[in-house]
Amino acid sequence: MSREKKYWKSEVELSNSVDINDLKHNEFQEKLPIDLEMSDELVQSSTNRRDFLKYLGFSTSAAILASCEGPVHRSVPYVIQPERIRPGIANYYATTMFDGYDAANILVKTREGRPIKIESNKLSKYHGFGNARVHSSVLSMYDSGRVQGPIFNGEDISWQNLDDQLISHLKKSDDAGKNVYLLTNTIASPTSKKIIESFTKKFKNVKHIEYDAVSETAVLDAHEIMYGVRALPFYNLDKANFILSLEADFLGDWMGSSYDKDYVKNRVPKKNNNGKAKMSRHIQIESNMSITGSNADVRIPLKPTRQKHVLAYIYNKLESKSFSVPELEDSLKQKLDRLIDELVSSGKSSVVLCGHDDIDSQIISFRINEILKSEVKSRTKVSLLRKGDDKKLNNIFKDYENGVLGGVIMSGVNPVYSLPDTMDFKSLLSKVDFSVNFSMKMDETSAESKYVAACPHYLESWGDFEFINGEYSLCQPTIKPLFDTRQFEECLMKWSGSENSYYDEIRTNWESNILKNGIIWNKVLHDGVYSKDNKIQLKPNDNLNFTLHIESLLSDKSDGFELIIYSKPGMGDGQQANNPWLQEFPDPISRVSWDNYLTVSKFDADNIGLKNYNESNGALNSNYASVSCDEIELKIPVIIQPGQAKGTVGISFGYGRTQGLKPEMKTGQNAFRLYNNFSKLQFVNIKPVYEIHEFACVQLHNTLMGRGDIIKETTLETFNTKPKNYWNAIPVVSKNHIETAVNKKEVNIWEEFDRSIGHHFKLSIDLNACTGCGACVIACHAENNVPVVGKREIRKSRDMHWLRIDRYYSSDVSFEKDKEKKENIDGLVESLNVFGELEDPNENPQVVFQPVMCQHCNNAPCETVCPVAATSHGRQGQNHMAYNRCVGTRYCANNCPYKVRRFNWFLYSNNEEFDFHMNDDLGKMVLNPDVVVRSRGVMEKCSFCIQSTQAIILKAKNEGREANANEFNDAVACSAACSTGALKFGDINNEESEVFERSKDDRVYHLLEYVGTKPNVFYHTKVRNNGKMKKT
Amino acid sequence: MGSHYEAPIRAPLVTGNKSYHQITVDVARPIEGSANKQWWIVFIISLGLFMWGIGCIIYTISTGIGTWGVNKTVNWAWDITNFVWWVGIGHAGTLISAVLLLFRQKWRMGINRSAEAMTIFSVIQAGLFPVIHMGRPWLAYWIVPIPNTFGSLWVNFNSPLLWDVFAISTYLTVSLVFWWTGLLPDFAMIRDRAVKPFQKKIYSLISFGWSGRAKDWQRFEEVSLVLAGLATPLVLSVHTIVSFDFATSVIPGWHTTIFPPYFVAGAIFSGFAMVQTLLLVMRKVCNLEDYITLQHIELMNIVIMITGSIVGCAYITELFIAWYSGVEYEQYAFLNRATGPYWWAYWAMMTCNVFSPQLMWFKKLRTSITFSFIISIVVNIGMWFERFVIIVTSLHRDYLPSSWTQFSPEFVEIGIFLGTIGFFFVLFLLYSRTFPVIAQAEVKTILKSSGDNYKKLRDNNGK
Amino acid sequence: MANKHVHAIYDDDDKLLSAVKILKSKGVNINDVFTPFPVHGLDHALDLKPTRIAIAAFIYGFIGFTFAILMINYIMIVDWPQNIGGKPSFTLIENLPAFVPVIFELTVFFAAHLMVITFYVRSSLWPFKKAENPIPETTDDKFLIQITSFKDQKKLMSMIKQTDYHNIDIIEHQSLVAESNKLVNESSQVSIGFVFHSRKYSNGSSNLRIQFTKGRGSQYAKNTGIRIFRKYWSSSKNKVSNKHPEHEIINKKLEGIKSKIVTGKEKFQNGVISFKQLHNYVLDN
Repeated sequence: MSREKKYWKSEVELSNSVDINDLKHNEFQEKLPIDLEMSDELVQSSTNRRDFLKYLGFSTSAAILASCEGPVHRSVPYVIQPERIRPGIANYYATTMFDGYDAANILVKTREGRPIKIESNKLSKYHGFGNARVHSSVLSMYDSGRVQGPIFNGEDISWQNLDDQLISHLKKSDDAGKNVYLLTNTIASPTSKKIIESFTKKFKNVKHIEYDAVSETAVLDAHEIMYGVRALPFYNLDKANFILSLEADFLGDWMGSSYDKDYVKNRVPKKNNNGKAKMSRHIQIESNMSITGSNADVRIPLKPTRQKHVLAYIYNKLESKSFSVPELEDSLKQKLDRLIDELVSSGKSSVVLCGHDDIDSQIISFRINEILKSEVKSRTKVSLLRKGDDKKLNNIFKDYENGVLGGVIMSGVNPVYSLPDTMDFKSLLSKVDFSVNFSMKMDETSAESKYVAACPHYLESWGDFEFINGEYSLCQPTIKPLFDTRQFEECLMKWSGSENSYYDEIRTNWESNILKNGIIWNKVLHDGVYSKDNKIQLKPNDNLNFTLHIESLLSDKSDGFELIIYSKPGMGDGQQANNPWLQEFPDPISRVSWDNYLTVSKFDADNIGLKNYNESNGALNSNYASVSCDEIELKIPVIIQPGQAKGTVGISFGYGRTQGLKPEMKTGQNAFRLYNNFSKLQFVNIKPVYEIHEFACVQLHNTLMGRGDIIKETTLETFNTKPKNYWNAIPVVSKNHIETAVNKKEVNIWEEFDRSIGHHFKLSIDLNACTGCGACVIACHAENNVPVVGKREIRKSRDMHWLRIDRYYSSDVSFEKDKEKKENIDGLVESLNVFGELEDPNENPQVVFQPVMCQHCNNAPCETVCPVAATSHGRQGQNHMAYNRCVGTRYCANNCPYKVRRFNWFLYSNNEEFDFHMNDDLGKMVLNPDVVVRSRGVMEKCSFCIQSTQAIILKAKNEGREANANEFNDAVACSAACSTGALKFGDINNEESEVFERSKDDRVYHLLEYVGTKPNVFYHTKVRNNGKMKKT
Repeated sequence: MGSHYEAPIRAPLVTGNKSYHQITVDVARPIEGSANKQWWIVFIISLGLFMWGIGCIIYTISTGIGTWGVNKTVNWAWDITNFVWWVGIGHAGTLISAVLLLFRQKWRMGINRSAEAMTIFSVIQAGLFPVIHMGRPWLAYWIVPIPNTFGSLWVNFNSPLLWDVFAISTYLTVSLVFWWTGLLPDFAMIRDRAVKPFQKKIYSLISFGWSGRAKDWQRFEEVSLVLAGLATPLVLSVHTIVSFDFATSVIPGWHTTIFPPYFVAGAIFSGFAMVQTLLLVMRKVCNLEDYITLQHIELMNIVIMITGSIVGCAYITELFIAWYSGVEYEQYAFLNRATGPYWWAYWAMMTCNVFSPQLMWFKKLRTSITFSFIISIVVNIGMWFERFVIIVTSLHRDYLPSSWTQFSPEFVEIGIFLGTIGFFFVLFLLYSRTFPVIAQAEVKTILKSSGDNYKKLRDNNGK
Repeated sequence: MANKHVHAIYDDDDKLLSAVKILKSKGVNINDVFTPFPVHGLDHALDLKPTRIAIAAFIYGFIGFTFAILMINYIMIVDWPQNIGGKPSFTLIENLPAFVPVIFELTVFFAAHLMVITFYVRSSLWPFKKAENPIPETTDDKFLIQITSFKDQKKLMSMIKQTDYHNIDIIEHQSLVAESNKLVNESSQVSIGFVFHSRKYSNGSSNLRIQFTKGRGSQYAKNTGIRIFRKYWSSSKNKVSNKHPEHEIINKKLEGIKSKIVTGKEKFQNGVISFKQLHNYVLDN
């Protein structure tokens, strides 16, 4: 038996004392220091230390696992693949925009069901091209500030409720014998007209009033008196050889649409076989400097009241009547006499256009055209873009005073904003029993009305229009309504108890009344336009008492400053004030963005004490002027405008919106406040206010400094008589002491790359055709996701415009004179003086517009200097820019002679600092998926829309053919948007292409040719028609 | 002693009856002693500036170049101005140690060590700017020709900026090894004198175990000579290439063939001025009057005067060529410089760089310490303005008047500039306390030829 | 006798130069010369071979030049020729003007750096390299001629004595080693050890001395008054072996000295006594 070994822990154990045993069993003498709150069951709980550690371990690892989850990108696939939507392929839909101010038949480019761009509809005869506002309108749909459903007193309600309540309201006021006014913008839609009629039939107490924010009532009335038709006259300017325009901004927004397309047809001199070229002649007499005036051959700045005298004077001459016309200065008389000679000599093809807001001058101008037997003034067509009658507005106020005003239903108008201070619509709205505003925005009027009926954007709606008699067009939705909205017509139909949808109504109406039989609806819907010759014969009323009109013309007295309220090509009547593209769009004339202002002549400015000056970083500042008319006073910054007639000032509509827009967009002052009795001409007093205003102006230097090779100019006379080298000489360099033209091969020190194979893209820009409207600028924004940077950054000269339209004033009476002046400098002192003088524009300068984008030089200075080869030349002539490779040294931008490169100074997308469309999900829907949104710190610039040229090439490839001659014409956004064809893009290696033909033109020159950059953009010398008379 | 003959008329370069040992002691003193109050004050100030600069740099990189005042037309302003300014300052060091070595100018020995130190520190400052002026500095490594993730995507050897990368990096590293090699014997001297163990460790580490064998010295001298031979064209090439940034461009006022020599002269000009500034302070603080004598100062002043005149000629030539070329843009560019919105910058440049150095013709002035100090600072201000004028006034009004604008700096870029000045002085102050500020080994070689005591001796012996 | 180093120390470069000339003429094999600064003409006097480092530099430069050309040619012409600003990227020659600056810079870069590296390697200079100058003053104002291989020491001495020398050291190899060992661990410590005087008495015995060394600095040796044959000395125990007839007495004496050394060291380290006083303190007999 083995004796089990025994180990003693100590000798105490050996001596087997008592206490050692219990000591053995609890080794801790005294209790562990457990906190008091630790209750016994916890102490005895099954959870021991090991468990605790297990739990700890588990929870930690669980937490870690949880934090490892990656970001979730939700992408919802189509449940049912919709027809004809192929990812990556754009779909185009023909539709029509009419918001009561702008009218255009357009194509809408949609990608994966999102409208992203407006294009022109070539099928449309008269309104196929959109202006800057039309191109911007697509962004207005993605406005994050839109009303998303019907609202009653600020609370959301359902459409059902709204319908019920309104019908009851209508009945109530009917019973109470009160009138309800239906206040809409001009209804150019035949179907809507029907609907409104049936509505007013159903509710007898409803009266329909059409009202235009910027009124043309005077013209309409005058036309009615003269021709018996209440419509706007229509002019065929393509027939005009001599245009005399008084205050008529027909290249801008005169009478609802621009005539630029027709106007330019006769402005581009084409040499016929006998080497002589013809072009129309355009004389503009105006007070403000308008883009029309800046395109004129002769521009005479004159006070509106004086203009009326001039009108009378001309009438006198033509009718050989003898009214006592107040004395005109001799110089002016001489000018006028010469003009009248020309007017008469060009007879049928001459026209007088009048932009004055009074019946008399309109009638006289009509009369003059009749005397001239002008064929330019159409006898068969009238424009239906404006029908508003301001006089009727007073009825509302009358009824309101008489307490018989039940309610107001408004659609497409914003009277609280757009009525003058003398008409207090706000308080009216607050008093009436009920008021409904059909609006997309919580604008000034919506804020005051009880009901806001959220209506869809035109890209979400149906509609039909007749802009010119017989010229019909359709509007179709290009996207499912984004919000719970309903169209105005839809509602009216519901309220008058119809079950049809507006679409059915339109279709039935068209198929029964408009379409000739045999024409299929779908075809028309596809085309978007449909014309039908329902001619009217305008009979002038010759036995009017013109004497009366003349007298009232002459009676017009001027007191104080004459204010002409005009509308900018950018902002128009201010409906799209919340559109960042339009806010940042620089005014073609002043080049100021994010503002409106008082334009005043240098002369008056000096007298009153108004000034413009530049800050140390170049930014433009001014002091304020207080413009007062009766009790109304407007404190507004000042721009000293060359060409502004002395004694006149101008303010533009469309600014000073206060509601329904982001804080950044609340810019400028509301000129409507001064729009008393709807006349653009107001008599005002001006006092200086010594506070500084900060402008965001993108062009800080206004003159050309006599640099003749930036803008080449000549007169029609020289153009016809002198050889090309005289008026469009190519600069020469001395090679081996022989003067050689810089574009000669032997001048080049390098072996050229072969550019004859494949496509080689070039862009031609005709300075004669460019009116400076700026549609291309916005089109470029839309196509290339150009960021909006805001007023603060523009002030720092950091605009991101890939395409800009430079505007230059002559410092002498003409650019030619400037050039002479510079060339005749002799000696240092004189050069100092002369260059000093050249910096200031003339008081009535010549103006020229020059679109400038990346010139895609074949010998590009920017490419050579990039250390990482981020920009290099493509095989098709483009100057590529690889954003991902760019490290942002900005050397390229410095070395660009044209300064067209734009740097991303900050992160412009998803950045609270730049709270524009790229900062919210809705606004981002407008982005073009084919073009990357540039990150911070990279250079960007015009790419010749390489995404679309490539797409076209690819398409041709897939179809197994060569891309044909003019397929590229509309590839680049700018040339596609250009209504006048000033910009033409194409493949120079294809001899059938238009651009090839244009490149052979005598007028062709390259910007800064002598630098030897060999641009792929070429310009056409501007030719001015100095007529028989010498320049004035 | 005949081997050490030097014309008696030559003023001694080492004064105060120095013996070899005294030289050792004098050079070692600042290192073995402890810093005085002024040193600490200046150091704290520079450190503060440096920190502020770092703050501004961080802000720029995190937010964007937009925090600066630059714009679509003037894309470079203070950033590149400072870059060129610092590079220019750097040139004096190499010039003194290399070119003067080739010309066997013994007076260089008193100053070359600090001059080279200044070179390296200022080139470090210069190197900062090309990186932080980038829109995306975190990708700065893309400017070196390394195969990258984007496949065969390489740098562009046509770009002057890339030339800069190579020039500046070569220049920095070469002057660094040149400097360090020269430092070895002096470090060894400190090492062998060191008492504190730590100090001894450090100096024996950085002295690379220099023992001063005859063979080592032979190689040492050969290496110095060849390095000098290499550094001389290098130093000329560096600023030439910097000037190419502008000369090869198409911008009127930049596109000028005279730039390379003009820039190099300017660089030497500003560099010497900076050396002057620093040494005048240092000889006081580290009492090295015996090694950096009035003669040194005078000679430096003469160089400043001459290079200043060269720069002046360059300015005039520019104007003349602009007029003579008959190119209107060229003419206007220069007219605008002198009379445009930035006339003040132009005339500041003219006064500081062209007129003020001409006063050095008067011996009384060029041997006056206070005057030299003032001029040396004035010159550097002037040279900063020169670069500002070249860059900003050329850009702000170039070809198309529509793009003309102006530039004014934001606090950020000013902060960065001050930061680099702070950084520079931090480095230089540390250097002056831990490095042998005089190339004692070299000075010892000329002690017998140019030490005043030996000279006297010789004169008495009638030799 | 290879375990002996003779260090002839001079305090002036001219003296050194003449000395070198004299010794050379006498056919003395000078192993090395340490100087605080380059003494001109020394390399000729020592007839050192001229260095070939310049030639190396040229070759390096050439390598850099070729490298640059090959690299640029590959990058700009071969691998991905682009149309950059219309500059012809067809052949290297056409595009060469733009490449000259970089080629030049790389040439300089290679030449300079590789040459300096070569210099460091050949002269075995690198961080953590232990310095080899025998006495620290050679980086200050002393010039030292090191002679390690000689036949007749007396003759050598006499030769050196003819020159205008400042001091002569003869260093035993082992003590050299010992010293250098001490050097590493206790840098500025004073170290005291037993050494034999280099001179031998006719009977072959020699004086046992105590050598005091302070850091790498001054050395001082003093006789203990004990004279023994080396074979009895065990350097490990620092005592006389029992074989020696009177080993008790000597060792007792040594014990005394050792204790004095210990206490003296302490005193010195506490700064109570100077280095000089230390000598006397240890051997005040």
